[in-house]
Amino acid sequence: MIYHYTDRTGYNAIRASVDWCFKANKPPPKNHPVGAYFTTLSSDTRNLAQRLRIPSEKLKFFFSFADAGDLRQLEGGRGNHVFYAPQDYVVVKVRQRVSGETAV
Amino acid sequence: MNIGGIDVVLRVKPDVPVADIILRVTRRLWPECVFQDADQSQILDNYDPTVWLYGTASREFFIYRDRDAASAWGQDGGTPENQHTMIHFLIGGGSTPTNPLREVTVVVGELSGQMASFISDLKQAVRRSNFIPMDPAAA
Repeated sequence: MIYHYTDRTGYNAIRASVDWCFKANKPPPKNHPVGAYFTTLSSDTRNLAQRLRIPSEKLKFFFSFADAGDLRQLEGGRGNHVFYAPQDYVVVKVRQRVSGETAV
Repeated sequence: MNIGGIDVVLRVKPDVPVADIILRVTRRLWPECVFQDADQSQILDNYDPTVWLYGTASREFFIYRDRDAASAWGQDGGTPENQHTMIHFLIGGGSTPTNPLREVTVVVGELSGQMASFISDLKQAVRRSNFIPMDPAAA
């Protein structure tokens, strides 16, 4: 299962359309490839904010979907659980699973 | 969702006691640093013997500048203000016939100033250790 975490604003924007569209980050990150980022770590993973190095606020909402095997691995050890798509990434309804608020 | 941090990948010989080296070099950087295994909630002081006995066997851990930094990360996650107060280490598994080196990933908030020096010191310490013969009899 693949997860994408976001805040309330991001959550509302993504779920507004039938197919979920995850936007490649703009402006591009300084230290990682441009892309839309995902993880295989579920929201109950201990120390999730530390592992992803993001604010807890950005873990408040999530989307989950079935893996299609088309995402790229981040280089290094975090590549075991962090993946990205180099452009905007669309998840059609048949691949969509649960989404909503996390317990974080 | 953006991913924070800068991932620096080192490749070391499988017999190098890399976690031990990491702890020693990090303690020089942050004398009040604290340790947390990635799968645990407990925060340990760097002088706690548990860290040296069992922490060095950890495959993924965080070292925070001090207890206040650990608390801030626990409460707020990674913010622009605290990115430079925690280093995340991931130590890869054993070597394979096609890849005899072990991958060690060091995730830092920035790669300038103090943190650039730290990475340089760490690489140097690992390099020194890499020169120790794998078979003591060969020394």
